[in-house]
Parts: sequence; C-alpha cells; structure tokens
Amino acid sequence: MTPPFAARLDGVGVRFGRPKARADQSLVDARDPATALVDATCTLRPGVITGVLGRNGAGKTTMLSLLAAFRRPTSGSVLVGPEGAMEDPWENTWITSGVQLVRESGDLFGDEAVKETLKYYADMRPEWDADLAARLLDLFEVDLRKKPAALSRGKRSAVGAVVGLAGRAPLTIFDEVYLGMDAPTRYAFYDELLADYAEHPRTVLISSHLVDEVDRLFEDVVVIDRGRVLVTGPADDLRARGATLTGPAADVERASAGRTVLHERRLGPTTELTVDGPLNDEERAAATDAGVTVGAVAIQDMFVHLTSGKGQDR
Amino acid sequence: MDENRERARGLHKRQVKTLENQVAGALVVIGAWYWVVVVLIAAVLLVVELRTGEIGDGSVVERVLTSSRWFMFVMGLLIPFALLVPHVAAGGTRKAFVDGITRGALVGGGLFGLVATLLFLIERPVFGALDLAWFREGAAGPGNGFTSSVISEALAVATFFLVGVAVSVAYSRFGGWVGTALLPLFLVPAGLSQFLESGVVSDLVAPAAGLVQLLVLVGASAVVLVLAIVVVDRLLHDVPIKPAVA
Repeated sequence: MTPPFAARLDGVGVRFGRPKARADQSLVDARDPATALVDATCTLRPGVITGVLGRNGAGKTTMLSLLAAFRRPTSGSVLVGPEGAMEDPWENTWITSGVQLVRESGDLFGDEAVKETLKYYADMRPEWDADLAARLLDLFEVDLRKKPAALSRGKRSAVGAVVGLAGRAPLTIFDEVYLGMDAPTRYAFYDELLADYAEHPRTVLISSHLVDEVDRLFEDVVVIDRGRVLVTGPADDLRARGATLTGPAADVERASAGRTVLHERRLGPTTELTVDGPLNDEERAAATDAGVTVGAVAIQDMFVHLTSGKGQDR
Repeated sequence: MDENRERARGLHKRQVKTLENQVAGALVVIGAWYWVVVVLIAAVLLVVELRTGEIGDGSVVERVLTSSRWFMFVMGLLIPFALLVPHVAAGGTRKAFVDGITRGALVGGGLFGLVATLLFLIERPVFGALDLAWFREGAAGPGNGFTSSVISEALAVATFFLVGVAVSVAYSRFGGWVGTALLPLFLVPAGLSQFLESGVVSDLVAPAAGLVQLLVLVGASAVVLVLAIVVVDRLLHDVPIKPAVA
C-alpha cells in the first residue's frame, strides 16, 4: 500500500489567463483580479486531516487543483508525494494516481448512469475498495441506475464522497463536497471518513464553509485569504492562538492593552474582545482578578476574525 | 525511485486501457444505432434506384458512408467534454488521455471499417441478383480488397474522430473567436484524408503495382492520422481543468 502523501507549495502564484509582463519581473500581482494565489507557501503533513479554510474566492479551490494537477502554477513550485520523495504532480502518473480531488460537482459522467462513473473510477484507482463503495452507496441511498442529472444535489455530492472514500488515494481532497447534503448525511459522511481514515491512514484535505461542523476532524489547518496563506499549522495552535476577554469595558481594555483586537462586541457596559495571540498564565490570572472572563476562540471565529481584515492594535 | 517509475508505467497502461475501453465502448454502442440507420437508408436508396433508376449506378452503401466520417467527427466533438474531467479527477494524466483516446479511435475506426466492408460484401451479390451494376467510385484498384478496405476506412474514420476531438478542445481552451479562427488549421487532417480518396490521388498512384498502390495509400493515410494525433496531443498536453460547476 502506498504511504500517505505530503505536499508542499513554495512561493506559488496563479494567474488565470496569460501572465502579464511586469516591471518587477513577477508573474502575478495581488491587485490583478485574474490572480488567484500570490506567493502561497505551506507544507501539508502526511497522514493527517487538514482543514483548508478561506472565504469565497480566497484561492482554496485553485490551491487544491494544483495538488491534483488540474492546472499548473504560474510561478513557484508544487510538490506532492511520500515524505522524502515528493515530486511535481504535473503529468506525473505515479503522483496523480495517488491523488483524488473530489470537487463539489463530483466530476461524474453526465450522460451515463452513476454505476458507469463508479466503474471508471474503480478501473483507474489502484486502491479502490468496491465493498466500501457498495456499502456507502447503500448508506447514502444512491440509486446507481440514475444519471447524475436525475439525482438531487445532495445525492450527487454523496456520490462524490463515495468516490473520495472508496478510492483510498494517499492524498484525498474533499472540496466543499458537502453541498446539498442534509445534516444526517453530512454527519454520516464525517463518521465514515474518520472510521476509514483510522483503518487506512492517508492524507485528507477538507475545504468547507461549515467550519464549526468539521473542525473536530482537523489536525492541521491552512487559512487562505485573498490568495495568500495566512495561517498554516496544527489546528490546536489556531485554537490557542487567540482569546476572548469579556467583562466591564474599562477592565477589558486594560487586559487587551498592546494586543491586536480581532473583534469587538459591546452590550451595555459589557464588552467582549477577541484578541490575537495567547495569554500567558500571568496575563490570564491578572485578567481574571480584574473581573474579566477569559475564553477560548473557536476555529470558525478565529478564521472569521483573521480574514475580516478588521484587526486593530491597542 | 526505479520502483516508482516501474509502478508509473503500469499505472499509465491501466489508465490508457480504461479510457480506450470507455471510448471504444461508446463508439460501439452509439455506432450500432448509426449502422442500423445506414442500412435502412441504403435499403431505401436501393428501392428508389430499382423503381426510378434516378440514384445512378454503383454502390449505394458508398454514398451513405461519407456520413460515417462526420458521425465520428461529431463523436470526437462530444467525447472530450464527457471524459476529460472525470479522467483527470480519477488520477489520469493528459498523456494517458491522448493515448487512450487514440487507441479507442483506432478500435472504433477498425470496427467501422469492418462493418463498412462487410456491407460492401453483402451489397455486391445483392446488386448481382438484382441485375444492377456494382462498383465503388472512391476505391479503385487496391481499395476494393477486403483488408485494404477495412484499413483505409479505419484510418479515415479514426482521423475524423481525432479531428473532432481537436476542434472540441480548441473551442474549450481558446473560446469562440480564436477557436473559429483556428478551425481551418485543425481541419487539415480531415481535408487530407478526403483528398487521399479523391481521383487525383488514384490517378497519381495508378501506374504503380497493386501492392505498391496499397502501401502508398495506407502509408499516406497513416501519416495523416499521426498528424491528427500530434494536433490532439499538442492541444491536450497542458490543458487546465476549469473550475467545476455544480
């Protein structure tokens, strides 16, 4: 069995269309509306589940497309493969056969019954598990005889989820695969993903806007904002990165002095500030003594605050 | 590393074979309906010829068969849209796509050539029984033989299929204006394929011996097919997969 794949992006820029000649010799420019990624650099560890977070148009899908060799970067380098043996995935059979990108459309044969698409994936994928595919299709109640157009959006997404799970690719990428799925199906998908991941370790990337729902799965997180990698690292670091300070306005202001405030909310005399950077034990004790409640920040809240661009230094 | 390369070769073969089966399967299934229609039209033309004599002498199947090239051209237009994205999503490379689609075109073309030749073989005694003159205008000399008929028809049909693929990919990559501007370029192999079946070429090779004629014509058809493959390869080798629409 192929070991889980790692991936590395180094100074990656992507511009749709032809690169324009620039005075500074760079191929991409963040101000250019055709630019999707700018100097994106991050490492994706093998054998972990990584959440890829970003607002609409941030560049998540473009980044994931590079890993699956759907397109090439305009600048920089992309490497994918087992740790210590990573290679450029572009037109590299050994690498691409180990990467499964499941997009929101599912990438199914539009004019043929679903079973034909699954047969194609089964023939192409060296690690395909037909028994798992059959069980998941049964679980998600997908009628194999129907064409994708005759399926609801949720059922089409479920077929995509089956392709991703049964393919057992060393790097499996789910790009907003939950679209249209109802809550029970989504939770069933998350459970199946975790169970199969535990049994058959591989690298999983999940891009989702339902951050609160999936953040329990994340071991690592990559946050992309306006084409740049804003944060990359263990999810626990992001969870511990900030703190909420709640209490009387003056005390909260004192406790947050010198910190970057990511978000501020006032309700009468009470203020809640979300601050960037963890509080050490002394700061935490001082704040608590002053009547300020110190709380954790959920990944979704931290992501929202980091990408809102409204941080203010105090 | 060598182990990975060895594995990659096996995976490439697997990808090519999977796509070849998919393309050939589609051409056989949809082609079966096409041939039913061809036989019906040929039968109707034969009846009209018997009743009115206005169709003219010679094979009626041959008159209908020009459509097989354009049928394959249309199939070539449709197939990349249906297969390219799932193929890449399933871990396939563009190189495997080109190889698979070429092999599928050759298998499909071979079947078309075989069926067309069998129709000629059936038509000939039918014409004899009806006391009608049977001949093929477009296949004088070596083109009338069974093997040469299958091969020349297969190569021509496969070429038209690949030209359809090229046109489809060109429009998808470059858009309507540039795609249309480049259209004559991509149609060159189809034009050359038709030219090889013209009287001009028959006259040119006529002085040569039968086997030489056959080898020259089949060789030229193979060169035209290779040209179509090169065009498809150049268009597909770096084609980006566009963002998905759910």
